[in-house]
Amino acid sequence: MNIKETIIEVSLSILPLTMVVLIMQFFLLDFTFEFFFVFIIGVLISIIGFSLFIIGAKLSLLEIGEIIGRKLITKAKLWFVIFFGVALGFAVTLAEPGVQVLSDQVDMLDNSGGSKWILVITISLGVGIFLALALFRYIFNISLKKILIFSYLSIFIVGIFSSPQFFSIAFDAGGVTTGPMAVPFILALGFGVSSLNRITKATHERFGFIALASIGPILAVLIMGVFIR
Amino acid sequence: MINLIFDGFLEVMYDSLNALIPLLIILFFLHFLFLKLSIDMLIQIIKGILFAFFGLVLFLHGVNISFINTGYMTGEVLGTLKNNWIIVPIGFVLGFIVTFAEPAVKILNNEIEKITTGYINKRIVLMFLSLGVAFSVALSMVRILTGISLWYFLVPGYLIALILTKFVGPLFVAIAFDAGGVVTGPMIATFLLAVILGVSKFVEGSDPLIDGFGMIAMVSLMPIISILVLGLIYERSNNKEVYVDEK
Repeated sequence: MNIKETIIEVSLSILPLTMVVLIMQFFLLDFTFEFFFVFIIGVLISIIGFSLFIIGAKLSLLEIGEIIGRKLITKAKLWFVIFFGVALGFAVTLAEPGVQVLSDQVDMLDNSGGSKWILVITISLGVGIFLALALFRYIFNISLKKILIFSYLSIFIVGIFSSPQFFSIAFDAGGVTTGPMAVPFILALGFGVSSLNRITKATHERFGFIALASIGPILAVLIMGVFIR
Repeated sequence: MINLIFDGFLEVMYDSLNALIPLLIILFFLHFLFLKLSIDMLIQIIKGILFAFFGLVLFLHGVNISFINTGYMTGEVLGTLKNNWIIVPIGFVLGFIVTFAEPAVKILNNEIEKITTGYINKRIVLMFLSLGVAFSVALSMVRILTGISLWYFLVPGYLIALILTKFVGPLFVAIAFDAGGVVTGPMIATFLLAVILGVSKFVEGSDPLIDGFGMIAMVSLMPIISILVLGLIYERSNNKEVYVDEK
């Protein structure tokens, strides 16, 4: 892994946004030197962090996901695959910073206290169960399109009965959970699962795991919204 | 000035470490149970996870002190403008370029190109993803100005997406719905959200809570449609569904 290359690539992807934000700062806001200085330092810190993340993800999450996927599918029994599907989905979602941020925001609005962890656990369980479902789907060769259609229809039906605030939070949760920690891990898990197999599996079977993992939290939060009104 | 740079960093670190522990426990458990990795591999993976994780924390902190502040303040200024329809094209541009800066998108694009052995070019995928996000932010601005309910966007949107799956091969369907989940990463959920909240605060009749949350729902919908459309174009231009699955 070339460190210099990564840093250049990352800088190039952050550059356009930096330029536009600087232009907006210059024309729309009272431009102060202090503000500018902190902004530039912040951008530099994000570039370092982003590069470190890409390097680390290649060393670890992309590797371990594939190894786990391969071994799970060849060596383990069905109940074990399902069980660890849930556990892995749960754990990797807890480690996703976006989930914490979202739950903090909801907690602040709700200000009854304690709702943060209920939400975090609901979201993580949603990811875990749907990751297990994705593995199940793969093993039994069920079409992804059918599961997607069925899931999104259920989302809108449950959505009618859920409270409106939960409806927006649910979709937010679905988008935020599959962030930078979960994405490489779940992608690699999918590749590992489908990499060697008794039956020849097609390339498209290697994708679709994240699709299901991001439906899980939407449904989980909506169901939570049916009960907490 | 130095305070501004380090503000809130330690708390973020502490919360983040707590969140990382369950993942490490499960990995150790799996390792002893049946993965039986070599020591070198185990060290590499733990090192990598720490790199990735603290990289992410640094990234978030950097974004926090740079883009988010500016995002919120410019949002407020934009919301008070007299000709406030201008927020629609500005939203479009911001949505387009913010997608480049999203870490998980980079990972997904690299893997798509790798797995399809170059059949799907990562730059084209990035273009279509960015267009999808651009349209969703522009539409969110329209929602702020007009107050149309989120349902009128989401229900037809997902219907269009589900109908499109009939005409697109399984590879693009899988990638499209994957992309919908991936695109809304930390950059969009923080920076764009800050802009939207800022704008919506000053536009009459707009509720920051409803409009802010709605934006993220839109951002996870539109890229699904844009990648499905890309699939249509790809498969048509290659005459039929040429992509022969590897045997």
